[in-house]
Amino acid sequence: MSVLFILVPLALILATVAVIGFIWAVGRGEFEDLETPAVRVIFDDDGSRRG
Amino acid sequence: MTEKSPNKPTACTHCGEPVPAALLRGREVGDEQPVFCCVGCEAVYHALHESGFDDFYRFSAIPVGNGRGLEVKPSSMKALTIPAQMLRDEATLCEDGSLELMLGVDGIHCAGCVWLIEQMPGAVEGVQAASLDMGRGRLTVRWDAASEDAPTEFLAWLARFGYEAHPLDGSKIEGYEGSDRAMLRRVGVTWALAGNVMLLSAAHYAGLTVESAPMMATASRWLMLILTTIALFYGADVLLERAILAVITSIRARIAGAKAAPLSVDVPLSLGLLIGWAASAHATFTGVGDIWLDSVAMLIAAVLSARWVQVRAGRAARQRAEQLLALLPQVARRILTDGQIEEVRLDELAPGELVEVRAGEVCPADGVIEFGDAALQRGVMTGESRLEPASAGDRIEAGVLAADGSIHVRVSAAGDATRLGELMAWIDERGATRAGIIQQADRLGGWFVLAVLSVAALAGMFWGASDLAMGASVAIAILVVSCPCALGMATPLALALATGRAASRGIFIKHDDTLEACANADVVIFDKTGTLTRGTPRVSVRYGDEEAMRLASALEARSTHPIAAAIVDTFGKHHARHVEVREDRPGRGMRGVVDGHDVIVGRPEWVEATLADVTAHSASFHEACDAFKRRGATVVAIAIDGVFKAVLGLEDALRPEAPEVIARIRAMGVRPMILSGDHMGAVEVVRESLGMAVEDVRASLTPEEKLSIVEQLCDDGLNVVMVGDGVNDAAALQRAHVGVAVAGGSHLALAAADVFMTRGGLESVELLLEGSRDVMTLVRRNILYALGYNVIGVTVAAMGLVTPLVAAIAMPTSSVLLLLMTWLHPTFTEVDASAAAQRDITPDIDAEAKLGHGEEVLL
Repeated sequence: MSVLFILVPLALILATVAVIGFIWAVGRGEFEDLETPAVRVIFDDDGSRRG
Repeated sequence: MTEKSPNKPTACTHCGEPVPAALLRGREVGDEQPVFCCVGCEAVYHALHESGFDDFYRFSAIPVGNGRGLEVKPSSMKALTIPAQMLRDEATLCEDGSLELMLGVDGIHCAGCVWLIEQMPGAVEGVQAASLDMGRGRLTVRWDAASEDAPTEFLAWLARFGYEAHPLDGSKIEGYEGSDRAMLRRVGVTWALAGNVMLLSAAHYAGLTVESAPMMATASRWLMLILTTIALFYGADVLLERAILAVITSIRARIAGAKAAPLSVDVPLSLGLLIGWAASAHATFTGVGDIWLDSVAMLIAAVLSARWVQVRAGRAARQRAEQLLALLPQVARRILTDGQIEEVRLDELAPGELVEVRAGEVCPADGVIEFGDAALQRGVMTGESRLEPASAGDRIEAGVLAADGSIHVRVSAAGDATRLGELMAWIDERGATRAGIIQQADRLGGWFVLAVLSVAALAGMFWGASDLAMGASVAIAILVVSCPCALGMATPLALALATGRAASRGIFIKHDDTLEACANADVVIFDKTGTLTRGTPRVSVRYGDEEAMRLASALEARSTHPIAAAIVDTFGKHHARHVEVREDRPGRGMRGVVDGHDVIVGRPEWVEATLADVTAHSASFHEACDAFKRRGATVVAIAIDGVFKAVLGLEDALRPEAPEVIARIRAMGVRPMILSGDHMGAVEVVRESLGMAVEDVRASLTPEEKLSIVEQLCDDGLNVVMVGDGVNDAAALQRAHVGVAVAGGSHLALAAADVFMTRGGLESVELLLEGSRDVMTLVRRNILYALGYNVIGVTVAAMGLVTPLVAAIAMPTSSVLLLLMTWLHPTFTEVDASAAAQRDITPDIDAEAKLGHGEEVLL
């Protein structure tokens, strides 16, 4: 059972990494525009992003 | 009848809207040539074609947002004259030395727009990246700082395709985005914390106790306490803050002897959270007692999620309104004393200075025209799209569009001192001070605190009499379990979901509490012009010689005026061999030669003045003119070869669905009323067709009279919903319990309203009334359910049966159930909105064909 003293902190560290990732994504505005990316998918690759 | 407008409207090659009959002249059936509804569409079509962007039409068939067609305003075809320097100043410098700027773009309607606009880097030199946020109409452009002309060029490039771009008020956006992101961060972090606390507590429920494994149990308790403490003071700090403020204001008000506002639901919520946390902290420190941390953490996460949904749904509507209100140009062209023209920012403009307003531009300040003639469009103020001629000496206000002609304006007031600025400030102020309808949950909140506290105290004393520790434990259990999680979420969640669903149907609700007011509506007041009628005149009555009318129609086919279009629609394009326009005087009429006949069409006074000799016929024509005028029609007289031949009466026709919808509204128990500024005659016709009572229909009202009637109704204790579209209504809209503005009307009415609709039409009004009632039923059911849960929970807890495990199961379950109930309840779905919108966009062809002959048909 004493292995939990390592596993639980480890789990918390992993969770912290995920939370930091989430905070980073929120800061980049990833959750702001939820409509346009769905539309961009339908454009042809060659023409849609020239340059 | 020689020729009639085709039965099927020809769709514009660019936007798909029906093409006005007047523009289809000389077109054969089956003609495959592109055809356009306006110059704007035509220009954009050619611009796209020349640039090799034909793919646009592949994507533009995919509608987004509210599914409106592409509409190109000819005014948006001109690039905004924003100096490149100004754009550079507003832009932010990126790490790689490029400049980035966010622009608001008007006219985004389809996937094609996204595709086209994001072609910009390949099409405009210097632009490195362009990314469009379709939902909010925001374009982020990054360009090479070394490229001097890039900003001007990309604006011009956008304008070519009919997209109007303007820099956004950066500080405001940052404020919104900052608070939005902070909230989302709170939600995410709190869920992560709550999840971990729950995992840890699962071990305790599985049998981990301080007795069985002291080390591990203590460590796990401390860990849970740390995680929950973060959730409480980082995640729920807003809740705690608001609860404390509410308590302080309430105490202050009581001390001052005033009637205190009811405590909001934040208070019992925070109380439960704090007590649960404090009791658990005490248990962790001493190693004795129950811990409730998992319930506390879950509760915070659930409440924050509900709040976030609420904030986000509400903000969408507000931002739309704000974007629509970006009325004034960013720069003005100041004329210096030596005749030089310099471009200055709007805030640098001062009274007494002279500015130039070119054709198609919006006047930046209030003032007097010193030089030049122009046709002004005062739609911003009045919602009216008609052009008014103006020349030197006439007044002009900020926000007024000079549709043609370049003028010089001596500024009398600039910035906030303009009439537009003052009205906007007034609306802001009223909006801020206006007491919202206090939500039912909030009203319950105060009672709830009292009830729970007394029950906890009584139960604590009862149990504590024999066993002090047991007494404390029971009191704490009551306070934790009774956390009005469901009560706190029930109302806001239902309202937020409804607001979001309404927005996707083109109904934007600015405040949540508006829905309650709509549901309680006793009276719906319509402003006749915009909402019940089509807004385009048509020939409804006539008197005189048919042949004269056909000759007049042939002449009028040369004009684009709405009255001319109505006449041409009715009588067709007469096959005249020879039409020559001699005179075309806007606001008066036209004179020309048609197949050798001298034809005069226009206002009776003008026609009469133009006639050389007034014949004996004129007496009966005068009678006809007067009769038509009395019923509120716009009268057009026709004279052929110097003799009065015919009189036409044009009226704004009722929307075909109006009588039905009015009947349904009445069936809901809401009294429809019409308060109109129009002539009694015109309003009377509408009243009769709708079968409304005489006392419910008032005509020839001034804005002040409208306001006083609305005030009277409000004072009588009735809940008033007012639907309007002009600035005349702004005050009344503001005074009514709910003001509903129809987009396309005046921008000021839009700002004054609590609700605005991007789809005109009565169905939207009906949907609003119906949907809001539905939502309130749902809210009441939710509250009932929440109270039921709490009564059971508190009773069980008072019996000493609630352990942390029971709380940890019961509390999240009650929230999830509530969430599901709310989510699955269909609101704002009753009327088939897409069909309604379709009807709104394409004119009712059948009705038009029926009316095509100008008989005495009024519907």
